[in-house]
Order: sequence, then C-alpha cells, then structure tokens
Amino acid sequence: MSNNIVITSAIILCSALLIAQLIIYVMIKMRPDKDYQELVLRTRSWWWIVVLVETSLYFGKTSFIVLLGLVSFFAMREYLSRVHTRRSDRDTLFLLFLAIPMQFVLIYRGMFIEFLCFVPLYSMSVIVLALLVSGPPRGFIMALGTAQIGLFSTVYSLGHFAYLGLSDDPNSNQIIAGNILLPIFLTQINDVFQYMCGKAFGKHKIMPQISPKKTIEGFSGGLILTSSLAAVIAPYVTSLTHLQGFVAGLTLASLGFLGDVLMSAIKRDLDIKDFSQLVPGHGGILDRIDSLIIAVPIYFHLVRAFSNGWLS
Amino acid sequence: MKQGPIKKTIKILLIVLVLRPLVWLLLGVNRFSHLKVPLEGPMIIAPNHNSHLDTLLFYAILPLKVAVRTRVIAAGDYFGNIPIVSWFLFSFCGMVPVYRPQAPKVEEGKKIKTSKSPLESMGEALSEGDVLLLYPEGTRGKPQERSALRKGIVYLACSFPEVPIYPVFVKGLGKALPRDSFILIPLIPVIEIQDPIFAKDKTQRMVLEELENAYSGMERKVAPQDRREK
Repeated sequence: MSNNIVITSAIILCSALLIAQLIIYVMIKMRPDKDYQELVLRTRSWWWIVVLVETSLYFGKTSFIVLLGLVSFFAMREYLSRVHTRRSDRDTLFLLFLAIPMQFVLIYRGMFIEFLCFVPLYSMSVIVLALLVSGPPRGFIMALGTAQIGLFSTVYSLGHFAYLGLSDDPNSNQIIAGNILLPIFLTQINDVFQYMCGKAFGKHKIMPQISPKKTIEGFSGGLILTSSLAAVIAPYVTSLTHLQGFVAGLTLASLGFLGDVLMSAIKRDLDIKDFSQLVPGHGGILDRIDSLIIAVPIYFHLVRAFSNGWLS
Repeated sequence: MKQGPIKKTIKILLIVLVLRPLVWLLLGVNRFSHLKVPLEGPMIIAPNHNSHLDTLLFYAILPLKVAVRTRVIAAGDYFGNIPIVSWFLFSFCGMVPVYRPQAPKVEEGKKIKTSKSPLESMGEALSEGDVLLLYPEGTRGKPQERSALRKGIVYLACSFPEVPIYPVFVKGLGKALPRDSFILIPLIPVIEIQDPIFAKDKTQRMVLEELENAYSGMERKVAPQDRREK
C-alpha cells in the first residue's frame, strides 16, 4: 500500500518535472536573449530532491532516517556558518552537531518520549552546562538562543518529520509515505499559491519589514486554495478524512508561512540573502525547508489527534 | 617539480576521490575548480592563513591541472618534524620548507636541502612553471584575524615581475579549526579571489601596499555578515 503511493507519486512528480523541463526548453528557444539560468538550476535541483526523497522512501525506514539525518547535518552546518558565535562557544557547536545522530537514533528505535524530550530537555540542559563551563556570562543569552533556534529548525523539526513516517510497529521497515509526501507537497504548493495570488491581487503588505513582497491577499489566497486542495487529496494519500484534510491544509499553509518568515527574519538580521549555495538556484537547505520548520511538528501533533478520533 | 604520469594520476585520484568529497562534506564547498586562475603556471596563490584547513581547501578548489603542479610553502621546522605529515607534504604537495630563525633549532640531519635558501627553491619552482601556494602572513595567527604581511612574498615577486600573484581571502576556517584546537567543526567558509597583481615596474613597497589593499578590500566585501562579531 505504502510503496504504491511512493511509485504513483514518483511518476506524477517526474511527469510534472518533465513538462516543466519542456516548457523551459520552449521558452529558451522562443526568447534566447533572456536569462533562464536560475530557472534551469531550480528545475535541476527539483529533480535531485524528488529522486532523493522518493528513493529513500521506497527503501524504507533506514534510508529515510539516514537521508533526514544528513539533511539536518547540512542545515545545521549552514546555520552555524552564518550566525555569530563567540570563540568560547566552539565546544557547544560540536555538541550541536552531536545532537543530530543522537536524535535520529532515538527515532530509529522508536523511543517516543525520549525523542520528544531530546531537544527541549536533554540537549538544552547539556548546552546550558557547556556554555556555563566554557564561556563568560557576557553574551550567554545570545549564545543559548542561537543554539536553541538552530536545534529547533534542524534537529527538532526534521526529527518530527522522520517520526511522522514511522508505522506503529517499531520492527517494521515500512514508511508511511503519505504522511511524509502530503506535508511536503502542501507546503510547497502553498508557496506557489501565495506567489500567484500575491501577483494577481496583492495590495496590502503583511510583513513589510521582513518580506516586502508578501501580501495579505497572497497569504489568504494560499490558505484557501491549499486547504481546499488538502481536503480533496488527503483521503487518497493518508488515513485522514476530507474534514481532517481541510484542517491539516489550513495548519500547514498558515504555519508554513510562519516558518518562511521566521527564516527570512533570521536572514534579515544576519544581512544575508541565502544560507548557502548547496541547492543550486534555491540557496541553502534552510531556504528550501523553511516552510516545513514549524508546520511539521504541529502537523505531527495534529495527525496524532486525528488518529485518536478527533474530527473523524 | 618533476613528476611522472603515475604520481600525477595518484595525485588526481587522491584529490577527486578523497579530498574533494571530504571538503564537500566538512566545509560545504560544492563548486570546485571555480577559482578563476589560468591553467598554466607559473603563478603564486596568496591566501590569508587562519587554519591548517587552508591548504586542504586550496588543493580541493584549484582546477585539477593547477592543483597537481601546486607546491605549498610551509615551515620546515614545524611540519618537517611530524612523521607522516612531513612525508605526505614533501612527496605529494611538493612542499618548499622554510626554516624560521626564531623557531627552535632543527638537527642538521633532519633538514632537507639546506644548501638552498627558501627564496632560491621558490624561484626554481617558479622557473619550472610550478604554482606556489604561499601564505604571505607566514603563520596562522589569531583566529579569524589578519596579521601583517611578511616581506618574503614581495622579494619573490620583485625577482619574478612577470609572475601573477592571486590574492585570495578565506573567511571562516579560523572558526572551523583554529590554531589552538583539535576539534574540527564543519563550517562553510566564504572565499574571495582578486585579479592578479604583477610586480612589474613596481617597487617592493608598492607591491606590499597593493597586496595589503587587496586583502582589506576583500575583507570588507565579506564583512557585512560579521558586523557584530567583535
């Protein structure tokens, strides 16, 4: 059942990318004077993302957890390269990297309570201790906050993403692919809807200081379109009902926006455009997964509430 | 630097199969061969120096054709005494050792090619068409800070006025692996390269000033993201 979803979605996504590739090819032929470099790079990166996600889903739990662990590592690496740290914080930086394998081993073993508490409780206490031992008190709050946002936006959110795919049987190697693909698809399509609605009706800026291009009209349009789409497709890929799918779509769209502006705010503060150039045409990993960062952990809780019978 | 086809192949394999994947994983540099340098020597690559990772980074990001002909200038009194590292540096990086006067004395037997001064061996390498990886600051210095340039590069440049010097600025490796630490933190550096400087028709002082300006210019260029680090 689960592998059917993987194969079907892979076929759909690959055909969509092929069509996009064809359109770009025609556009380049029609207007050779215009620069399509960015578009070409973006599409190529999308190929990579689709192939990596779908293959790891196909091969099951181990490969999927390894992939998300690597993505966490790359995200943490680009985050720590950009933020300001004191010299004395080097040990803490090392511990932040160490948190990644630990979190994903807990997930692999299906240790639910430990997995949930790992970032907010265990990691934080270790990091507080490390900062107290190694550094001067001046700048302590900044250092602690920097570490906390870093853990939250990489290890915590992607950890929830990995756990979302686990089935109830801890010995099974199966991944519930629908639970993974639905939030990715909805947050990404929400970005597109927001952009299109903003272009068409955008008038009132929603966060002029952080993202001057985002408008209230774009945000609401994205919210309506994404949740309607979610209501239609959710029952086919997950065990949610139409109503539950609608609520899930609403949550993913609004919190996707929040994650997006959270990352934008961090980049504004640091005076940078992208976190890195790891994903050509898109910027860094964090620039790509920004809308998943807050949405996925909340979606995780939502799915649990649904499976306990809420709104069914 | 004379090297047969076998040694060249081993070098290329080492760079492509070991060094580049390692640099990609730990330092996040994913655009190799993008430093805009000519593919033929002689030339001098002159980066600032903050970390041992600098040398590894440059062998990974220089175009392969250049990397196999690159010889690193390093302190013989320091690297010559570390057993495996010294063998590796001499046989694969074609290291030109510099024995610093202020450093602890090295036993005469351990010195290699003491008959020539470092400047002579560097000059020889340049006339053979080699590429020199020369850190004008001489030492790694304080983490994430530039130290004053030493005169060595200026003497060398003025005796080879036609040889281009490429000033390169690397920011971030002093955070990844500074001089007093053994723990490597995977962090992505920012790399800047400038148009070459030629010593032709210039006095030593002018060359030094031009280099100094090049570094401070590149430092300012990457600075916006570091405005609060002080």
